[in-house]
Amino acid sequence: MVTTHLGWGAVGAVATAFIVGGLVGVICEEAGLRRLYPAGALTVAIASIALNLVLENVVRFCFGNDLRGFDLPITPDLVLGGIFVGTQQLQNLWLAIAVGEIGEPCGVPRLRSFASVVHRAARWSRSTTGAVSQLLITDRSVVMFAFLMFTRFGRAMRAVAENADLARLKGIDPRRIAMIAVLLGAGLSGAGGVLLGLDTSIDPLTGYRVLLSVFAAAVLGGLGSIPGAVFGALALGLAEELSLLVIPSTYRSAVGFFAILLMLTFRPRGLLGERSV
Amino acid sequence: MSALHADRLVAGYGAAEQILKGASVRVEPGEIVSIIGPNGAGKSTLLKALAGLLRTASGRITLGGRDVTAANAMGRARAGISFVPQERNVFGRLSVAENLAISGFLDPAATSARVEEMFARYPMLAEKRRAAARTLSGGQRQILAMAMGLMANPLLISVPSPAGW
Repeated sequence: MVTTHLGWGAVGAVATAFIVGGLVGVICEEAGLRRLYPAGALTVAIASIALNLVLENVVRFCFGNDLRGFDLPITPDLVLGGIFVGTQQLQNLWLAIAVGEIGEPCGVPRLRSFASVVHRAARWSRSTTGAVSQLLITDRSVVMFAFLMFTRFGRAMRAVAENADLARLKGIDPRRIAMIAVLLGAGLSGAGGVLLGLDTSIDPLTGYRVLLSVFAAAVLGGLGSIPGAVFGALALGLAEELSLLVIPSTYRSAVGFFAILLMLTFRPRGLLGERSV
Repeated sequence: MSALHADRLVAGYGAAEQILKGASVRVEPGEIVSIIGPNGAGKSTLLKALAGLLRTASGRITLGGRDVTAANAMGRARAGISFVPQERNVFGRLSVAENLAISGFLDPAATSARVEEMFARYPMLAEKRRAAARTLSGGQRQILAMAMGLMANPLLISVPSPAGW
């Protein structure tokens, strides 16, 4: 709508998606999920999946089920050392670094962030080599990592995620921090969706189709670990692609199920997850 | 003017279980006050009620003459009460320096200077500044927790069972 009716172009679409996505995230959090916190994490997780279905169907009702894509000029791929890299993917990389990518320390937004990373991992590993995918994912994650590690609010997010009561005693408002986290996480997930749309066609169920991969990547890397999320997404993306050498593409999603099964059986905290103090 | 004046506090864990039944305490500036009593007497409950971790059913709390009875834990921290929990008192995944910095969240302009001040006061923390707090020994962790409590330059710092540390 922003590009076709308002003519704002891709950058305007990314900015609009960030704002709208962030606001929708905050509304969902404040009006729905927060009220379920006393019922426990499992209830919130199930409710977030239900909310996801509702939002998808609202989008389907308003905009239809058709595949959509941006009407961008066709440009030849660049060949870097024998690796084919699309110019759109390079532009996505620039936008991604400019906009940044924030991972949330708690709640659904983290899953959305994982989804965004996995989206890119899966997509880019299909169209380029694993090395280029790794570069793109890593560059985005550097911004996310720097925000969480070196800024005051990033530290506060990590502190609240680990021990909200202690954070409260230090004068930090966990609710405010959570709202900022949701705003940024949901907003950047929206922006990530536009970037995905610049590279390929998308429809309202695009997110649903990678939900399993999102969970698998989160479990594989370790819930709560940012490097784990990156590593899990990358490893899963590569594993799914490499699995096509030995199994039909129909069974690609089995790789995610298998990863979840293995990790929950042998290392429930994931490869890079940490035990609490 | 007293640094802290808690007057006839009634508090506990649920309406049916009132542990404090009219407890009062007054702390003057610069004064160290020990609250002594047998197990179950309500010492920790009193400190939690002062810190805002437990809601008081009745009574009044003033800090430096300011009524903070209605304030929650965040509000009490902002008013100048620093409570150092006996357990789970550091952010284990954060480094020592980050733990100190986050404890100065309310005054970002003074945080760097205060962190260096804590490092000068507790050289062990300076040596371990980049180490994750979860890697510290029990004693080192308690020192860090105390330094975190002092970071905000509080009017009152309360420590449950310091002898047990």
